[in-house]
Amino acid sequence: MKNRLREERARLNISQAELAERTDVSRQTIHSIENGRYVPSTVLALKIARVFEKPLEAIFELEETD
Amino acid sequence: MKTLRLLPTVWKPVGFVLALAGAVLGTLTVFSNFEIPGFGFNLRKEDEFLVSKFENFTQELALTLLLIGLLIMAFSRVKNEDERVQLIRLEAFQWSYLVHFSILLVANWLLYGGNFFYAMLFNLFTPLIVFLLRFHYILYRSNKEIADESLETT
Repeated sequence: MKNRLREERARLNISQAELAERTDVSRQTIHSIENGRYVPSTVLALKIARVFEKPLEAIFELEETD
Repeated sequence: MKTLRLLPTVWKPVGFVLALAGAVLGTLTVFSNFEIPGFGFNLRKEDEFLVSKFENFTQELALTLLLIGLLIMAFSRVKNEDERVQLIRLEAFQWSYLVHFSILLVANWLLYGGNFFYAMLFNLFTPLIVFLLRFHYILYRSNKEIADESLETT
């Protein structure tokens, strides 16, 4: 699953730590999601989308291999 | 996301101390027949086949300390416990069961008599021990990779 976390963070100028705090997970988890190493739960994905004020599909996208 | 019910992080060192005490006492009991003097009583009216009327509870104490200690260690939160850590927990549990039953399978064919008994005694603890080793190793490796990548990008 591809994601646009890094771009969206840059747009809002917020750090990984800040996004982690606002979504109630660790900074390491945000880092892992950005690098495609961890796929978040639906709840966490929705929380992230809420922070960026965008629909889920604008941030997360399925890949052919999914 | 709702996380698993776990003990607070401060319990982890408590579990470690209990498990260590249980492991030392258990080793002394099994391999040197050590018994805490006076720690027992007459459980039966007379000696029976393979069991004496007096029962010393050193071995029971060792097993209790070790099991409770390991359980506390396995089921207490780590710092920054969240859904990613819980996935690591789940994978470590999967590993621990694979190792546990692999040992059982191998010991079943290769070990007999007393050796099989000792292997099974040790194997009682492999689910918890392998879980703890695997969980903390993956957590350490994952956090180290993330820290290294963060340094590269800054």
